[in-house]
Amino acid sequence: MKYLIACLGSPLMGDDSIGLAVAHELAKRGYEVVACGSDLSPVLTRMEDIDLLIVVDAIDLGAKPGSVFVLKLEEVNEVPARTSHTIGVISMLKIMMKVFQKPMDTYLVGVQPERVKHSTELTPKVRLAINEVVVKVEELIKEFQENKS
Amino acid sequence: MVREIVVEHVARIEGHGAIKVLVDGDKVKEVKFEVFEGPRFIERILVGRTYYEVPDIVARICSICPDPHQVAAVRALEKALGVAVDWQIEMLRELQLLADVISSHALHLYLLALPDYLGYPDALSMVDKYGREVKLGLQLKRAGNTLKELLTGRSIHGCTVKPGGYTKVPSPSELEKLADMLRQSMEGAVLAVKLFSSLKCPDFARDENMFMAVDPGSVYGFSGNHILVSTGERYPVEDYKKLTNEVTVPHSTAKHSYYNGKSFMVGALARIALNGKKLKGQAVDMLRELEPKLDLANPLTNNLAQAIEAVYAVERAIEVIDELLDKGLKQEVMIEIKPKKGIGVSAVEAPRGILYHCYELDDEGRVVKADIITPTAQNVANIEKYIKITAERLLLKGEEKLELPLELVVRAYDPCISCSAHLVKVVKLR
Repeated sequence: MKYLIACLGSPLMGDDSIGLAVAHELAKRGYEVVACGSDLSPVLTRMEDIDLLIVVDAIDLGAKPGSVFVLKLEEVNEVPARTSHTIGVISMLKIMMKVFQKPMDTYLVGVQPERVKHSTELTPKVRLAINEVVVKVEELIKEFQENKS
Repeated sequence: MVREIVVEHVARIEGHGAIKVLVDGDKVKEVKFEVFEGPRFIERILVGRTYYEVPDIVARICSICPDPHQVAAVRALEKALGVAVDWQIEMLRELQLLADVISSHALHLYLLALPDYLGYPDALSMVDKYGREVKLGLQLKRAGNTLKELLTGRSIHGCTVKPGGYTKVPSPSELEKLADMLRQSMEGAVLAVKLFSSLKCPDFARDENMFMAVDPGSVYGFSGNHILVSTGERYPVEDYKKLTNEVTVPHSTAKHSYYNGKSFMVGALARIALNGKKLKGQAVDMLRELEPKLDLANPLTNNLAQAIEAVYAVERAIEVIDELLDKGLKQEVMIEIKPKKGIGVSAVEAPRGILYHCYELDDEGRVVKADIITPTAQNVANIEKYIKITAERLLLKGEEKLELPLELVVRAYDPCISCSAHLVKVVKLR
């Protein structure tokens, strides 16, 4: 039973890079993590081997900056006008799950951004959320491993 | 009565764009394809960086086509540095460009364009009925992405591409495995041709067009040192400013390009129009058979052109791998570079058309000036031309609902309004 942590984000767009900051932290702790940039292709190339997928990203839920959310894929839907991808991350995940018929627990661990603008820095409130995200991801993996064993 | 037809957000394209058409009775007064992605000043970010850092930075311009940006960058930098690379590096770069074409065309054809032709609002809605088609499309995309990952270390924003070669070269067994994956993905490419040649392609956007594409030499390909124009002219890539003549417009953060005062089209249709005779294998047979359907005056046939190219790209990628394996792969192939002052220009064909990179370096090999012109920037004026034609034709026919046809025109160009940010807004279903 394998897990994959897919961290999304652009290093050039301020708080949008929260996923990449989390990826560095998780990699240091020895977790299997891919820094995806702005696209889920690395998940597409690996999905047949995984049973748990955790996607870490900046997620705008209109909450206080730095708030951390854990959402199951089936609990959320995208607002098309607010995603600047050709096809939204959530839609793409749902399409992949359907056509490959791969049963997989999929979670989104998101952080409410404060500023998504041209910058290589996170805002302080979002930076503070890194540890909380790491803890949430660790909990999901632990729970998954316990349930499967 | 004056009214405005507005598509606030053109869905299923890369980035944020809107269409605004000002109509007076059945006359079109003004057309704007608004691009409001924030400029990211990548060219300015590059100033002061060393030639070695450039490919990693320009890869971030786009998540769909980081590979053409990298290949264009290293080709231009090598010209500036006076470096020539060997056959193996050229072949690996061709493979990288092919991989990006496969991945990008699969995404556009199956997930972005196909829903329009099958009458669905998006790809997710059509999965229940067309699961096989979407699966084959994703398998095709996966083959392209896996090849990119093998060559560059990542399926997007790769990190092995440098002036003078690749920091890591795949092993023969890895390449053999990829060739198998490509063979299996061919079904998706062939099906795309069948689908886009059999589904009705609207002809409301017909008008004579001008095309530009890189001259790849004797074999259909995605890089070269000259640009072909459908007027019959041929220019060295160093003349790129004469060909693009970029101007800023108030309603868009993308500049507009004109040649001899006219807009022009770049991309798969332009490549097929100018270089189609150089195709080979199944792709050339398909082109011969489908030539009557590939109406060059109708930009919506760009989808069919992409499908034919996808078939070619898969076949050619397998052929390139076979040639590399036959000759034997050298593992350490980075060419030593001595920094020096210079200027270099290159052009490659990204999935959406010609991509120009130009760099001026100082004595230490640091960037003094960078200029990058993307295919979508070249296409924007042409997109506006065909939005106007479409609106005028449909208004004369008494059509009231123009939004979808206008979106179809924009989507046919597969525009890549590059997005660095990818913020996701979600709503909870329960």
